[in-house]
Amino acid sequence: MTAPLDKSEATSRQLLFSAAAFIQSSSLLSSFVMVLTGRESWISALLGLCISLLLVWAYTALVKRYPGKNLFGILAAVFGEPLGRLFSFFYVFFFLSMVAVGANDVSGFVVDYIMPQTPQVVIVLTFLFVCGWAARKGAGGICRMGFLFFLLAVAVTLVNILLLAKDMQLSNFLPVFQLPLGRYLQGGFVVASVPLGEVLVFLMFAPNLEAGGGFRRSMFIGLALGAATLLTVILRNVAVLGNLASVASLPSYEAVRHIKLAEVITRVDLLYALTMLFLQFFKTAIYFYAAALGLAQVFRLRDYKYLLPAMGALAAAYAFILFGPSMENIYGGSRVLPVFAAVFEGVLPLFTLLAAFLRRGGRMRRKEALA
Amino acid sequence: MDDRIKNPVRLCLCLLLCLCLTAVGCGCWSSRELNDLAVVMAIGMDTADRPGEVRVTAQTAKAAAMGKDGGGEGPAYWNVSESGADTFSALRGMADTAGRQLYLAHNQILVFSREMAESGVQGQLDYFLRDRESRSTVYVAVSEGDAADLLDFTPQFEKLPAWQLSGQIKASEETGQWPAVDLLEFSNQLMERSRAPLAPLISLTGEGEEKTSQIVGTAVFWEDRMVGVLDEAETRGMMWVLGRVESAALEVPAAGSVAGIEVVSASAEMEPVFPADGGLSMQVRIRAEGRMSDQTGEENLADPGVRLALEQSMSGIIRDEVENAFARAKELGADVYGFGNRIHEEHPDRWAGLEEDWQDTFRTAELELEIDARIRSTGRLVEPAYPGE
Repeated sequence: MTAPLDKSEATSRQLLFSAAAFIQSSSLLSSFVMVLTGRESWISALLGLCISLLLVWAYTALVKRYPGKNLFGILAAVFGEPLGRLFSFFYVFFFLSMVAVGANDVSGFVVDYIMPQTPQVVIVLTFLFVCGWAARKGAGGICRMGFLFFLLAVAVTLVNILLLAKDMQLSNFLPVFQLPLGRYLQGGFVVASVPLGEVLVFLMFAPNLEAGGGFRRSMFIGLALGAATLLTVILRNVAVLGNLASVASLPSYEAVRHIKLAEVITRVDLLYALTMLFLQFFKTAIYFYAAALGLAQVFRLRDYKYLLPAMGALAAAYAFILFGPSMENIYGGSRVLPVFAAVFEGVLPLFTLLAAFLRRGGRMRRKEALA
Repeated sequence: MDDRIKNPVRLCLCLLLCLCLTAVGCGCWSSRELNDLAVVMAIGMDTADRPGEVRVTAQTAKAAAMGKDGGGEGPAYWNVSESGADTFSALRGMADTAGRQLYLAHNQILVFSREMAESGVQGQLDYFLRDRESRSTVYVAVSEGDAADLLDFTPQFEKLPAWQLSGQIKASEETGQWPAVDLLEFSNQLMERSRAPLAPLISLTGEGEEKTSQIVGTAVFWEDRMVGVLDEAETRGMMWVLGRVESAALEVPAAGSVAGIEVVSASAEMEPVFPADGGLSMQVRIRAEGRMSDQTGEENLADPGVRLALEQSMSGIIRDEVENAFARAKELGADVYGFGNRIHEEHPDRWAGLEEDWQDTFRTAELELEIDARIRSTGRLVEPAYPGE
């Protein structure tokens, strides 16, 4: 299952920034962790980073063992045909679910805050259309955009922090360690699973990395950059909003809405909204590409591009039944989605790595026995 | 050469797609033109005649009248009032009266009438925190009489009462005389169970054309009900401890004359102290720097010996203000300083024991005050301009 469906190439630097931008897109919707640990969410972020370092090490170990193969190729190589195909289907389902989640997030935000009378389906379809268009460009095309979005996210975050500097109160961080330990662990698990662990999808890009590019290095640096942005955003939200941070449905948006400098620099929340939309598009485009490519690979099709319209329609329908009204979105985002994602980002890859170790070990022993 | 279009189906699909995107992309589904909106500049909340209902007054700006100066036939605003079971139904009912959708994003100030403040504001605040157009930068205030009346007067400098009200609050923030409280700060203070939220108390003074608004006190809340008022001196005493005094004018007597001192900067630190024999003490260190703005009498108050006396006198005046304010806060049982919050931040284990009866504990707290007052400069004169001996 290593038919080269997508011949485009990406440099390791492009991959690095794409991974960072991917994580940054989740940092703008930080309510999934702030409802759990409120003012102490930065502790969850740090814990989550530690957990995800282990996960990313596992991913890159798999790529090192099976160079030139993407996730589905690795699954087939480790588990053989029938089981590998089954797991591949699971992953296609997972990626498609994440496309639906992305579409749901964006359309929910637009309909709630910007255009209340527009039916959600219009936003979902338009959004998925653009994501599908980007997915057609292939891995190289998508990763080329990574640096641009990364810069955008960093610039907007820094500008917002500067503009909010006078409204920040460091006393909002005290007192620390007031919550039961289980909450922090849960928060760390949520952060590792939802924003950080999602870089699993970059395993689909492994074959497209230029020759000699360091996959491991790119992923770790990208993870670090993305996690740093997430931490910064959480710190800023808590410093500005104080107690309100744990009850606001979009803490970053609320913080940015508070910007008021000399009556002139005010109402800059549009900047935040645009950045969020761009980054969500980037993330959903990547997932869309991964889902289509994966399915084409499993069925040994000639090209993945033919699958995009159908998968888009499927994802659109799925987006509606996923979380009902948007108030379930926050509940789902902090309690349901992390567990769902953890299976694919944690359990299966670690299991695959273990199986890979055992397989290789078995073959070595047999060779020694024969020699 | 082949003149036929290579792929007519594809071309048609592309054109169709372009058309669809154009139709959708300009966002005209939810478009709202400016002349369909009634821009709300201020909101007043009163208790309605029917029990359990609220009467909401929205001050909407008339765009045309605000355009050039002398747009003037009549005021540049229109106050719409409506009663309803809650804030949202009242505002919705107003759309029928106004004939336009209300647009809340430019709201400057949220005024509660004293009556409503005394019966609890939590329910009404929730709407303004939840609604997508409302912003957390809006000022919160309490009006002495009806909020609807406070929004109806002819301002001197501005075209709208909303701007005069928010301008007064902003100006007071710059001097630090009255606390300028926005919705974010008010709801944060509300969420801290031990802290007493504050809001400026504004009243209408004068008659007829001379009617104007003035901040006359600080409304002190406990939980979400207003429990009392701090007057001008007490408010400043409180602001000294909060470190929010930016500029103050003190009349300081020394050596038989009176010097006017302009405080140019002040800061304060608060530290909870738990004496060995039980009880609670608040250690406050206030540092104030002033500049002599004027003096009466011919004695040179800038003389080093006299200056020391002046500084001590200044210190004494600040001390009196702070102690009076503290006594009043204890009387109201309202922790306006966020003292409980400080204990919660620094000594969370002790706070667990104190949290339950915080109001009673606060009433028994003591104040340890340390004031460092300095006079930095004497202005442009070294000595008063009096004929020499």
